[in-house]
Amino acid sequence: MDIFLQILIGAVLQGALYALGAIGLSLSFGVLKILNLSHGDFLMLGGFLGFLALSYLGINPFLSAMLAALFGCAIGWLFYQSLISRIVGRSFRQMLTTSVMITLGVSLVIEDTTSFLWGGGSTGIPFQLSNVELGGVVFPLLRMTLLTGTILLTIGLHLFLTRTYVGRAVLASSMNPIGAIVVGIDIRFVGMLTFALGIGLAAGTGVFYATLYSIEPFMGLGLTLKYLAIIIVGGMGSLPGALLGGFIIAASESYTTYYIGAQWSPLVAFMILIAALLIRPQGLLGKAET
Amino acid sequence: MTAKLTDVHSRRFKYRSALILLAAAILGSAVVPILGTSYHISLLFFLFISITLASTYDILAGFTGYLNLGHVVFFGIGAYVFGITMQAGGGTALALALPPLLTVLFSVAIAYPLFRLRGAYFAIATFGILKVMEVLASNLRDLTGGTTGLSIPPTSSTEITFYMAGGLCFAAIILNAWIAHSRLGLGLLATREDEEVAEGSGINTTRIKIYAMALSAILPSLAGATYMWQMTYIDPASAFGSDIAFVPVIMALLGGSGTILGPVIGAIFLTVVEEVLWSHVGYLQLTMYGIVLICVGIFMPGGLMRSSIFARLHARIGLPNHYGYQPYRLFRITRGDSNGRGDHQ
Repeated sequence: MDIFLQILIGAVLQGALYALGAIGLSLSFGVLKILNLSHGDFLMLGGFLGFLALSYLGINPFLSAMLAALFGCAIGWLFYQSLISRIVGRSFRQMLTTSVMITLGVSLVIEDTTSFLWGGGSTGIPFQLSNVELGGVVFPLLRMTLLTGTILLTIGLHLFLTRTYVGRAVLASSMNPIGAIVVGIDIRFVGMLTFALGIGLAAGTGVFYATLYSIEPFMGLGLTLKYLAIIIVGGMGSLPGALLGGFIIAASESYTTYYIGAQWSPLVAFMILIAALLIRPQGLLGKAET
Repeated sequence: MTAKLTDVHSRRFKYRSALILLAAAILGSAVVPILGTSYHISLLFFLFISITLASTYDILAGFTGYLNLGHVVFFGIGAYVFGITMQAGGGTALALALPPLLTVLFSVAIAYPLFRLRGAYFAIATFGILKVMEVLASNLRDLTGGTTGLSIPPTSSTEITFYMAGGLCFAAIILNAWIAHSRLGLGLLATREDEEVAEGSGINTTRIKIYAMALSAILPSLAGATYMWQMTYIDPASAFGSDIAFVPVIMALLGGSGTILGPVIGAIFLTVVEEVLWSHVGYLQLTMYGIVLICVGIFMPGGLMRSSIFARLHARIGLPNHYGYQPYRLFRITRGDSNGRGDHQ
């Protein structure tokens, strides 16, 4: 029973981290309807930035996560202005094909350039905090801090989306773009903002990710797919949905690793993804599209 | 809708130059094993395989607009089935007969649930299927040899595999052209333009989409078998890997998805670019690959075939008008085709 609980706690932490990376993808897909295959690469970039910041400048990961997030927002803004803005507003089918081409191209450029400059090996941020033991169950302090940070960020994001004018504009644009235009929302600005924020969140999460696990240049695409699984399970554009989806995927992965074997854990996310798409395409907490 | 079909057949003479071009290409590649070096043979072999994959990928993507990102799954299954049958001592004939049979069954089995999805969701789900197959191939060690891969005893028959690959490549192009002028293709195009309207005009869209998927599965599985026969080795990464998966998609999009020659041109273009990069630059190939992709996505969203240079060339040699949508001109009726076959916007 102890080990079951231990795995569950680990899964909650990992799920929160998954959710944080996935939320940005969920929002930008919801607003722009663009399939961004390079999302995971920005997480990897953020992780590398955090690694460089700690090993050369001695910056604490919690601080460098914020720097990475800011950096990510800037890059996201640039990415949107230079590439995405040119394909927004094309017909649905064209947007799908061109978004695959462009974001896949960006993903290839990022992965290859990073591996060229870096050397291709995997690395992690060597940063540790001591663990706390409570009633026989070990609570990893570093992970707990990250979990708290993730939850605070999610609550903040939720408040931003539901309480502020800009946030509500983002939600409105994702629900019904034409309706949003009719009521006077500048959906191009909203799209840009969402995209930049999403990539900023991914880059910030990357620092946490690299602190807990390891990163390597060619991890981006697999990660993007896992994030897509998470937001599809939880429901496109839904924050609580992303948290739930992240937790479900993380928990099933951890239990599969422990009870069946580590080599089967990559299968879990995809099986859940396909099952979710077939059984409930709008996600657990999503609303059916009309 | 059906009345327009006779119209196509009466204009058959328009395709004379296309047939001449095809015959020249077949003849040209037939003499390569006699005149060329082994480098030429292997380059052309891989080009044939790429064209087969790209053209068959486009049966689904070009006609129906469904992006099957897991198209190489058929290739991988073909290669593995061939390898496993050979290892079990089934003989070449059986090893070549099984892959198409099994992949068609597989494609119908996955098509049924998958076609409940649309747009990006379909694309993601097909990619998920590919990843599931990759994990299965790495984990079912007794059957597939796991991550170390599967190898079969080499044969001295490079010429057979070369001609087989060539045959598959031309078969894929002809299959594409045939679908374009068949009732099935008409139904698929209607489905692409508006699924509800197509359904309303009496087309069983689910059934024809499944037909299209099954048709697009046959040749890649044979290409996989041919590849396995030639290379004698396959592992999960080279059969189901993500980087392999995107190659046919990129080729078709680059050349022009929804045109018969588009995937072919895209495959040739990318193969040439790759060869030049590998032999002259040596590093950052993927970056340049990515930049090419981005540029095409931004500047030529319809692919090379629909760019003005190629379109003019296309018209000059008298090839039939490509079917499908015109970027930025969604409401225009294609020139010389005022009956609007396939362009009923």
